Amino acid sequence: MTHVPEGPAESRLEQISRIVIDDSSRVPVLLWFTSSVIWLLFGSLAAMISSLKLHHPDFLGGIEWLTFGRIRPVHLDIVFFGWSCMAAIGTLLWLQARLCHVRLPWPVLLSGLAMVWNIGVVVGSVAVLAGHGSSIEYLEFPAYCAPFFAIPALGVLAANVKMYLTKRSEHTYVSQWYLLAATVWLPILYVTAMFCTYFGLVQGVSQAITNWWFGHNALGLWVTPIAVATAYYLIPKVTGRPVHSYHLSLLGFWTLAIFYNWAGTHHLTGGPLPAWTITVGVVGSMMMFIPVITVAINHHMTMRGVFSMLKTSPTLRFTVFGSFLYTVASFQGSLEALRSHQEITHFTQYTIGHAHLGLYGFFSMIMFGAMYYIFPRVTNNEWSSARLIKVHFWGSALGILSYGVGLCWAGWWQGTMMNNPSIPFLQIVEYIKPYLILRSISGAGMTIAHLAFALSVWRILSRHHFVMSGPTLFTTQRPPWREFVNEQNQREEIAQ
Amino acid sequence: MSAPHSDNLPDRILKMHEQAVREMVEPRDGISPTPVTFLLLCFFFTAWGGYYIADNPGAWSGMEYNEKPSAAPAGPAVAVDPMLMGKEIFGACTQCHQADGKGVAATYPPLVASEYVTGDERRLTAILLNGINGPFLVNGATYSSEMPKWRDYFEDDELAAVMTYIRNSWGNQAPPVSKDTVAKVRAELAGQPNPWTAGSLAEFSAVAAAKAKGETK
Repeated sequence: MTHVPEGPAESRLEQISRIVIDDSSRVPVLLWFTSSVIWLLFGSLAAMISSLKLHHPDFLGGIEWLTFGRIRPVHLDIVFFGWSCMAAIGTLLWLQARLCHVRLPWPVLLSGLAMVWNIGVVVGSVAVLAGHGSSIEYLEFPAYCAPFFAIPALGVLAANVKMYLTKRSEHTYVSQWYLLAATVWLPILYVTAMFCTYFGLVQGVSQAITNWWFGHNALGLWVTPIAVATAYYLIPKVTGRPVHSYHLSLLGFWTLAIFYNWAGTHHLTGGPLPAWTITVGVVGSMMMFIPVITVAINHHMTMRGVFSMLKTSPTLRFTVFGSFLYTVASFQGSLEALRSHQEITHFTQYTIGHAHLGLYGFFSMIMFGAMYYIFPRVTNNEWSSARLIKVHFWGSALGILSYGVGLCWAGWWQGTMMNNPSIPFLQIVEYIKPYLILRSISGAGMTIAHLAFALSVWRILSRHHFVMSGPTLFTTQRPPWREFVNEQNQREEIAQ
Repeated sequence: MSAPHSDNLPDRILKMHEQAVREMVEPRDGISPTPVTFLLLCFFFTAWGGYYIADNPGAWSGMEYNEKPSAAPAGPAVAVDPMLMGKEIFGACTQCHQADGKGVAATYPPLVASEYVTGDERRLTAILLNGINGPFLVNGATYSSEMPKWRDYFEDDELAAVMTYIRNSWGNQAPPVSKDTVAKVRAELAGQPNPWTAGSLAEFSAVAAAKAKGETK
């Protein structure tokens, strides 16, 4: 029983080789994914504490480890290194193996690297909470955490290259370009940034430039390509239609590769940087319109005529939502880089709204979509409840929309008021306070969504030897979990 | 599980892996033509990028922080209100003399209604430049602390501004101090870096007064 429309027929051999490939990636992919979901919960907790402190500064105010200056960087680093990177690596290992038609190499090594990465996040988070963090955004973890991320990143690169070199598919699909490029870029970015900022290779203004070169590229040249690659795979895969245009894919990939690297300095507009560095950053950011539009056209045109599938397929709904927000957040980000725009929005809540629209609304939603697709395939099980997936989708979607719209609106007026010297600062603080409370409410919505997701993941893992029949779509009715488990236990007893 | 080479695996195995079997074909690339409007848009952004770089080059210099440097030097220097500038600099003085200028009894002398503040501007300048060691007498009370010298920390116009500020705040009223006065006194005291005492300061102001008299004659 399947609700998806039938696509062109595949040979049985292809189906079987897919089973073998999915099997080969089971342990590493599950390790990276499960870790990322656990970090997502910790990240949400740190986010809620930070957000509540903004409108109730006394909340947990007596605990040194949870002061705002520590818990906010911990939130950022956990959702970046813990959630985003681990989810991205899990997805890229599974996806590259599939697209290359080879079994995932070195499963034990890649599983070990997941544990190394986890240790890095634990050590780094505790160090920042204990007050040993640096003030360099995205690199708050102390220097001794660097090997925990650099070595796995190199390992993932090696596995990725090996898969590509031994690939049995003749054609290189667009997702593979992005995945390969992202794994090459990450170690370059991270190792260069760590050496430059921590070991005194560059100092002063150059250090700040390096910081934002890394901070911006970690999003644009590492997590963005992986999410775009995933959407490029999942949308045609679930709908069974070809990607609209190969030429657009090609143009989009190379323009991203050329322009994104320059964009980081727009974070320092108004700072003591040589003016030309910012000018180049602004142009790099604006040129990002080109790759973003190519992706938007390709994904939209691939979906055209089959939008009704969003009603049934969880994977597709998350992925298309994320892909849509990629367009929105990127357009916003390009315009935000302009000097005239920055005069108003820099140092306001607007930037924070934008950052979350990008990393959550775009990247995380696509990762959720990918996990809804990959988990059943590597566990040989089905999602236990369509209702939990609905809670996840609506909590996340409504949460991020009210978060993004609320903070961008508040930030715009906050900036306008701050530019007017006759308005007292405290009046501005009073003005944005309701929006800060709205932020906490939106955050609570997303946190509830993450709990629902974590529960789904726990269920699909804990009963992974039992195969339910049929995919879990939004329209699927499953028996309640408790009854389902009891029935299963009885079956096992009978079988014994 | 080893890779099967046969196409005749039992259906049971495929059933176990229903998730992987029920999929659509692997994604393919379409070859729809690129929309012309999009290509025009690419040209537009490229042209805009070139224009923006040419318009905001910051002289392509590592030392230029203004994206349009030619606009910066135009126009006369803006006159600064010495009372505003002085108020800002006075932040350095509040630790001892307090924000209300009343000082601390027996330790830090008041600036309010003090003859040292509203009186001879050259003497006041001399105190700020060199500092002074107590004890000394202000408005009939003895103060015993030491004031540091500020000559290395502030420019002439800054010292002039802070003096103008304290001479015209909290009910004080005295003529503003000009930056030339500070420059003159600084030059006079060039070879004399030691902090004043009550005695040496009185001597300086007597000599200064005599000089001033001489000049008027």
